[in-house]
Amino acid sequence: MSEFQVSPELLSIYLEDARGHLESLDHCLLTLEREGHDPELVAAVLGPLHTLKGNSGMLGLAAIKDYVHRLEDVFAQVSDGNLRLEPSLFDRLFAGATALREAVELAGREKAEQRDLTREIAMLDQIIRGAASPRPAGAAAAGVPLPAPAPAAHPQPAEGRKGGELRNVAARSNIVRVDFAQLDNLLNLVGELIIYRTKLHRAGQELAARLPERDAGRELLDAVQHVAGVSSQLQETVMDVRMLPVRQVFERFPRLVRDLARQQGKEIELILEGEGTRVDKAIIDEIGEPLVHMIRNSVDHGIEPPQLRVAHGKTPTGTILLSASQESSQVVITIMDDGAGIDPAHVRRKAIERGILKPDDSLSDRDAMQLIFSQGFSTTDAVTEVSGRGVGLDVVLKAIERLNGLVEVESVPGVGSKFIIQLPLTLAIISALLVGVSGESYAIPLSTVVESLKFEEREVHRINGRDTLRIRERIVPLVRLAELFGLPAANPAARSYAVVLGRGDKRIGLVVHQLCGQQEVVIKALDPAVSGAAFAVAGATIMGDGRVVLILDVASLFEGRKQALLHGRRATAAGVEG
Amino acid sequence: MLRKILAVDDSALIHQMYKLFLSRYKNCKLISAMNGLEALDKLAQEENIDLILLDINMPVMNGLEFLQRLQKEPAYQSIPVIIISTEGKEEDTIRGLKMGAKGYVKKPFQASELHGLIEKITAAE
Repeated sequence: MSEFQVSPELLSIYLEDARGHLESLDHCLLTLEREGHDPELVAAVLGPLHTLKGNSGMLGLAAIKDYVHRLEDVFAQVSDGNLRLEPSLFDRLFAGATALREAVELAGREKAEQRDLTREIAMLDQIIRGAASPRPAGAAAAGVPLPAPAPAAHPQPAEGRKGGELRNVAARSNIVRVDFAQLDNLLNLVGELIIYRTKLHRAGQELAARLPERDAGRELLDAVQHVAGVSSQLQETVMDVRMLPVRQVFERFPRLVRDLARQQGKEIELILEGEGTRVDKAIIDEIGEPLVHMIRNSVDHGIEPPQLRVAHGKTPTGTILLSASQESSQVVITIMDDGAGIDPAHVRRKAIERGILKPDDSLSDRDAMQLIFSQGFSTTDAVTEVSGRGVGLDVVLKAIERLNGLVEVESVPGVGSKFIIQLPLTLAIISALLVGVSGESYAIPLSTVVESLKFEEREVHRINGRDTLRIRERIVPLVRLAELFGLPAANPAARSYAVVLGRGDKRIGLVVHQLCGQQEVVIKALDPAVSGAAFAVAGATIMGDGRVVLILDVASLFEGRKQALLHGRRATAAGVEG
Repeated sequence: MLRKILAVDDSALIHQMYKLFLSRYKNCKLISAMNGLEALDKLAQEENIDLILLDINMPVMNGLEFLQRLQKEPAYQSIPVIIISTEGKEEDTIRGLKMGAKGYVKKPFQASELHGLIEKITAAE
């Protein structure tokens, strides 16, 4: 009863801290490998390792603790000048760091040690034994406590750095740890507030209209205006609190690129830019995997082997630039490489082979390149160890669309490729266009709306069995919202609007009867039982008058109409030519 | 009766464990600092701190540097300090005890171990 229980909460704190410490380790190893011995860097990694060792010990994770203990010894030997980290040692240290990371992640999830580190510990013992100072060779087996290491093997507490660091008052943290669920809850409450603000505003307007001679309506409207200002600020602050720098995701890539490049005998420099760009944590949590996939893609398919690069008049070392920046309410992440580029003719050929494209489909080079995101497409002929796990860029596209984002590729064969990902800064509140159809309202994420226009039924042309509308030089297929949701057809005299939605280069015209204006809406997740059954619904929101309005999932509209769209595209080409 | 304990450690995990541990002391307030400098700050802000739990190896200002500062301030000299440090730096712990710390516990520690030491030290005060 008096002892500590390893609760999920403690484990999650442990895991989060440990990940940070492991990043420090990776960073240190990468820099040492690239730039040679750096006493300050070695001193700086000892702190995180020591904390990781202490934390692991507290949770009873003996193998992790022992491994980190040995690692401290290795760095202490390096620091004392007893050990030189030869290039051949780095591979072993990196492999050990990977094993350590696996062990930590497993322990964090499973509440107990699942990853055996005996081999890795023995490997470090071997390195330590190889160091100049003689050390006991025993006690290598896991679980056997080591004798207290000789004091001489440890660096003194960093006294040399004291002066400089004391001045570094800015490093003092004022950080409070908050469960993300609480922030979610707070945001939900702010959402409610925004809903009632709209409601109050409407009531004030009505009152002012009914009793124009009285001040009550005006006063209410004034007060509502103030509440509106404060609640907007509150919303911004809460959103801001949820934001994290993309550094959290980017940090792991130097190591990834280094390992992949070595596996493939390539020389690659990864440059990171804009790591400080802040994005909602919900997005940070989701963007890692797609980015890993794209970076792997750049290493595997982009950067050429050194000999080939030299033969093409390039530097032997290829460059991948990963950058993030904020542009108004979006964050733009680009992955640029100076590799082989993408040949649109090759893409076309592959797409036809795989049945994604018909031989007589005519596509611009730019459009053809976007086909690499199609399901079942893969540009390498050989399945490689790196990206060829049967997973294509279509997975990346889907993941990014789930986040209401867009991804595009630009490439010049022989020069390089650039992948551009646009993401919203947050997933919780979006600007939406409210539309009405057959008496129902729906919200469409504004980021997907290209334009809205009024049209008459006689302008609709039937091409290949689909209703289409000619908008300037383009034939846009129509999707009737009433049909999609099984609503009664509108009175034929009703006005129709086409809300043109874009996904990359594709367009769909969504037919609605009313445009009810733009509004910030708070996304409420639907119960999985409901959302699973409802096609093309991303969530719901609550209006000022209490009505629940569904938010359309635009990506699934495009998915569901893929085949039909291709027909639409053919028609476009025909239309232009004709 | 313990009213206020200042815990100084750069590990968020350890702070959370202290929080759990100290819930057994009724009406005792836990004040957390992530390094020695932050701890000096907290000492200046808070009155009547009864006990300091001190890690040694911390960034910005380590535990030994903090102890040195503490011993120079008459107002703080009487506050008992327990060193709670990870194994592997025993010579630092010894230095800390020479500098006036009242006791030490090695990480990983058991709650009962720390509890016993706190009882012993507060009884002696």
